[in-house]
Amino acid sequence: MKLTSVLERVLRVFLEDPQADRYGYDLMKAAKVASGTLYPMLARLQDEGLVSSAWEEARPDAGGRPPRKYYRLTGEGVRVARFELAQASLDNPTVSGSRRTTGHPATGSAQ
Amino acid sequence: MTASSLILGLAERTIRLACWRLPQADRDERYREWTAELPAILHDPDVRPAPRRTLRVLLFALDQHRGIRLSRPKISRVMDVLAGSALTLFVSQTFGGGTTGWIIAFLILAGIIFTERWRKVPDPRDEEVESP
Repeated sequence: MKLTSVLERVLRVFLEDPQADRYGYDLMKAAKVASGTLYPMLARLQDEGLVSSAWEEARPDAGGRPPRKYYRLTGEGVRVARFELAQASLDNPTVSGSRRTTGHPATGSAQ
Repeated sequence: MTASSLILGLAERTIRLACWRLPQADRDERYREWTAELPAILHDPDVRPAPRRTLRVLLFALDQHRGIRLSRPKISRVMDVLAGSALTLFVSQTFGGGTTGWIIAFLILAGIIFTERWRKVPDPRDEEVESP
């Protein structure tokens, strides 16, 4: 996994509560990532088995809103994310949380 | 038609066009996933004023084009450009190679692109009815 600043932010958001389900817009806002960057990244993480997804079940209190797709880290994803973030902190202790490399959907996530 | 429904309709259309570039297996699911986010963005109480939310909806939809384009294997992007260039060159030479030839070639290329795109873009909300 090549840890970029964008991926790092997304992983940190996931790790805030690893058991929480996150939908795309929620992740976009929390990690400050554009949609065209986030979704390819999630797809790659999912292909690698680090993230799982599930469709929201239709709820009567949703007010007619269409069901969303939710994402969360898998057990392996939590382990890898913690390891990578810890490694990043060790590699560059002065930079905590971001701004290491520029993110990009083609290169800015798990390889 | 309200402004909200107009914006949502425009964004859905944009996403549908973006999804057309995805493999058939992923198309419907992506379309459902991304369009489901649109109302949340348009009515996000954390984002003010309203025009900013509108802009966010449209940017969300437009940016999916970028994401899909960059997700595709580089070879397929190169092949698209090569095929288009070869067709344009062939047609322009067929029509004499002058300015008129090039204009005709570009018009034909543009026609093919638009025809293919609009013909092939299904509305994922229209469920297929299987014949018995």
